[in-house]
Amino acid sequence: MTETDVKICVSHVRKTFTRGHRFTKVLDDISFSIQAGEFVAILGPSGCGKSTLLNMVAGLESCEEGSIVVNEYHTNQPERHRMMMFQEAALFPWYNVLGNVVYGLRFKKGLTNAERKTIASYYLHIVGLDHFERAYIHELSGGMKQRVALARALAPNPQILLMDEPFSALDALTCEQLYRDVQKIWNMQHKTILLVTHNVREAIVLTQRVIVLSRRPGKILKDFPIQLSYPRSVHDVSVSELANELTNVLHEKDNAEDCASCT
Amino acid sequence: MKHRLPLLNSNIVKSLFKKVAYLFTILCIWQCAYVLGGCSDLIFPTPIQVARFLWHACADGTLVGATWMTIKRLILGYSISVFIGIPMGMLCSRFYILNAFIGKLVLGLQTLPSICWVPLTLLWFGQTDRAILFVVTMGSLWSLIASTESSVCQIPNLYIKAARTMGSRGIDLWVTVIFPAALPLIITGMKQSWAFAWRSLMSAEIYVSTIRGLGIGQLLHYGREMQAMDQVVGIIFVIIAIGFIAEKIIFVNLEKTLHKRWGFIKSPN
Repeated sequence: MTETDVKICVSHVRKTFTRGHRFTKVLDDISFSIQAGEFVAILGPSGCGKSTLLNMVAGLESCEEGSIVVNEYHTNQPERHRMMMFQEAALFPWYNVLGNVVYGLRFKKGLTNAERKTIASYYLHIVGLDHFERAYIHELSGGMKQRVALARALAPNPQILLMDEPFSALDALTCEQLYRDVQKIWNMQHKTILLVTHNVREAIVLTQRVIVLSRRPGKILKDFPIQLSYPRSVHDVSVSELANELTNVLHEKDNAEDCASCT
Repeated sequence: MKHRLPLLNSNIVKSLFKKVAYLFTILCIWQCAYVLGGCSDLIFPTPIQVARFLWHACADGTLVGATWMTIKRLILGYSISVFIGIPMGMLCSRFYILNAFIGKLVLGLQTLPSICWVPLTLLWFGQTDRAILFVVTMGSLWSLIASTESSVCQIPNLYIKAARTMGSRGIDLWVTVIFPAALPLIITGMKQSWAFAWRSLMSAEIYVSTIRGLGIGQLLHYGREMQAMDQVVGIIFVIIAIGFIAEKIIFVNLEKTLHKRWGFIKSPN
């Protein structure tokens, strides 16, 4: 791989939150890089700073120590070549489904409104919501909302997709369906995807590489390649085996810390 | 029988019937109180006297004219409040300095009953329509600024984050995301300030007797001066009716629809 293939380069990032005179260290010396077209998960227990890290990559939070380079530029504000999905769908209830997907396309230059609508319809078709263009957000189920959010994130054709635990609020069956869809879409388009999750199986089913973070302050415990062939399912034996292995990585660290605090 | 009279079984008819029965009971109690109490007509009119007054006042056009006058004043005064109050509230939520300055002013003026503006306003504007409009605006503006400011502060940060990742900034962010996200709460604030405007208008009309343009507040006041209790009670009913239609029917339904669509209330499915 040459240098130019590196899409996201995070080096020596630290983050400390200040509340009054109390300092909370959330991220401690994080460095990794992601190649173009790679599907990577950041896995860690809640509160380990993984969402903060993703927000920093998105440009929603500032990066004071260390550097984050996306597309060879330092990030300091959100840009449309990297779109984001959140834990909640964050759809706008004052627009209908189609309107929400069109919203992400408003700043794409050189498109007429009709073309924007056509593109939006196409992406709604990809996520399997052809007949819901005119529906309002409160009429959709949780899984459908996340599908709309996925269509909205994909529609401007971003190079990078950032996902902040987008499946954690959904039931198991809906999750499995969405895992299949996301794998399908990634196979079609090969976007660079960075997924943040605390679900071990989800990380293994979806991604090519799992970066495991420790408890707060988050440090990289392991950079774990997943070499299983796509399509994968949560019920695959190989997935379960890897899930065990990864869970052990997370727990080993905990046990080590417990012993250290005992003595 | 059931399918021959579907109308009688519909919920609308049932609830209408309940309302009519309720109203009838109230009127009966009122009439009984009159018979048993033995008060003079000058102090305590009967329902029939009040109904007769309302009928005549409608027929000769005074009541309709006065009601129209009052509603015009209300809409004009309230619109001034809305056009100043909502943008001002949004600016306050955005600029700290403005909030620090206007916020305190709003808190102080909000506690002032609007009737207290009457002496001042009579000196400034005389016995004119403008005096009444001023009282209505002063009565409703401050609560609207305060409620708009707090509505904007309460919107989910997630909406703003999502919009920013999609490239929305500055004015565009305000128009396409912040304002619509806050809209259901702004409507709730508007409902409250509408109630303030309505109360202010009634006080203003009772105290400010303009030469041209009789409002229903003034009709109420003249009713007292002419010892016409049927007129006083009749006008009170009209005032209740206007307040009820505006607040409980228009605003509450608008609020419900928006709150449901914005997901503040979980929809039944």
